[in-house]
Amino acid sequence: MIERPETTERVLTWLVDERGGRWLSASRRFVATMTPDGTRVHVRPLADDDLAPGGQNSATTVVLAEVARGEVSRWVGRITRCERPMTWIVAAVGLTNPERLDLMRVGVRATVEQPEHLPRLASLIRGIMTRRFATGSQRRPFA
Amino acid sequence: MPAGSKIRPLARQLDGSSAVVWVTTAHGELLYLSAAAADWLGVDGDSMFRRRCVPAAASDDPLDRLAASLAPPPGLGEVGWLTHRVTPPGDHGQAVSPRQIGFARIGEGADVLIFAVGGDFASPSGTPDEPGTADELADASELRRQLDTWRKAEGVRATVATAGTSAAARRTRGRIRFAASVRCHVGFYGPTGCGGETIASRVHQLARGDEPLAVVDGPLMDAELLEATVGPLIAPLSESQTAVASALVLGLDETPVEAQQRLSELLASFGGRLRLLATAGSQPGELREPFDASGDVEAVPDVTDPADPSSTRTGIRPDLVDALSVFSIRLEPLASRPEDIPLIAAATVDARHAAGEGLGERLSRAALDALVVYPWPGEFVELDAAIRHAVRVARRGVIGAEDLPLAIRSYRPSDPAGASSRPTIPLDDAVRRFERRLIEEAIEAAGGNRAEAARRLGISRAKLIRRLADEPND
Repeated sequence: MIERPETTERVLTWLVDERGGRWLSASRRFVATMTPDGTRVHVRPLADDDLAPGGQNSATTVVLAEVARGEVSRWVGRITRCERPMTWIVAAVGLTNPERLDLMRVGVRATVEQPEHLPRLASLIRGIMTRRFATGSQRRPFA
Repeated sequence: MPAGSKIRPLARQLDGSSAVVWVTTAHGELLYLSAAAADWLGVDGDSMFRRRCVPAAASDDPLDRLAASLAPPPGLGEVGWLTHRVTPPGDHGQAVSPRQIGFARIGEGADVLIFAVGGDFASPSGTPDEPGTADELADASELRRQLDTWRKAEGVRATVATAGTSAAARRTRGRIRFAASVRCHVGFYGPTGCGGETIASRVHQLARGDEPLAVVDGPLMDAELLEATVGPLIAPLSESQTAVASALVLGLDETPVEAQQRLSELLASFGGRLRLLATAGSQPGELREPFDASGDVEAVPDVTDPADPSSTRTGIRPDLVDALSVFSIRLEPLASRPEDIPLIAAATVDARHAAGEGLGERLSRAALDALVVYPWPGEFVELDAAIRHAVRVARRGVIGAEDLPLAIRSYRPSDPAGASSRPTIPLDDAVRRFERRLIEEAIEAAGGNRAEAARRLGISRAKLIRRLADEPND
């Protein structure tokens, strides 16, 4: 007798930290098309306790943070302090190369300037999440 | 009124120097072009006098297109001083390299003059009054630069629906270039409103602009009407073995079978001399057999069955599919190329503004965001209509989100997880259930008296009884 394989639902949580609502709208519009097939996607604003230690499924959580001019160092500190293995993406206009390097050093996987550029991250997100779903890895990248 | 000193010494001084300078009116009419500017552009300065320096001004004259590229960047009216990298198209027989230009707006009202001066400017823009405007102006300037580059590369081939930097846009432009260089049947497949008709017409114009063309509105055709529509092509094709012609069939997959049959016969009669350009949906079906050996349409049964959506009579005859399979251009839906939307929208704004349809000359970031997020079920046609509306409604140069049509500015995508898990509720069912509940509550409140319940609901007793009879108890 062939047993049906046990299936587990694959859930990606996409959190958005921003001042207005443009990145939340863009995420809700595009993120579902940027994930591996069969993935259930939750898109919502970042809450205060989302970055606190001890949360579940943070390996399959993506945080999209809008970083204003002059705020890069504050975000570098915030990402460094976050002990959860989330995938970080930064939305910012006019980043300098040193700023980009600082962000990459603490594990930011990509930067985008405008909402229409979000779908460019599809293969990156798909690749990361395929590996995370396959391994259930809780390891923090670059940490 | 005090008179200024004479202008001639200044003009003489400028013409004797290496300064790249030009001056236009607020409406973009070129008043002055220095000798160095004329040298840079490779033109005779006099031939440019009074031409319109307005982006996307519609003209087939290369000098008009050259003048259009000298337009100031959007937002100059807001800050008074902007810099912009001007990229002349160079299709007037002279290659022109891009150049950094500073634009200054002086004067008030109808007396406004715009001075353009070549130079190496450190500051990208003036000092805007509102915070965030500098980023927006830089954004608009970058969009204009991309548009100028696209116009320069595409020249007369440019169709707004194919603007953009996405892989889909690049592929489509490449295929259009190829289609314009050969003479063969071409199919244009894409969703309704994607601009297939415009692109097909442009391909014809580029490939064989002097060749007779008949445009056929496929879904409205029967065999006789098709015959009458393409009649003007048939006579010369019959009379001369060297004559050629093209038929552009719009909506081939929705064209009735008998009209497709006639089209197929005409293509067979004239061989390659009658060229077929046809638009159809993204995934047109092939009409199902049986066709009898002679292809007699009488032998094709009417398979339309309202209970079976797969049995509809839309599709393309196999022999026409074969003809179009030689070369086809697939037009991607706008929703799958969001990164192209700002460029397409900006090009459309330029065209509408140049046509004098309104004050709007650039899109604010909020407006661009709304356009990017909207799913565009009506494709390019809907986008064009939205921009036309916004350009007309805008009360100043910058088009805000509030100037866009309601459906677009109020669109908010929902959480994908919520959207997929939410049950589907047919509206009619929901309304019926709600009505039923109100009726039951009214009857109960009236102590079972149906006439009183009807009065309380403001309907007749007969109507109330009919409603109760129509609806089974849930």
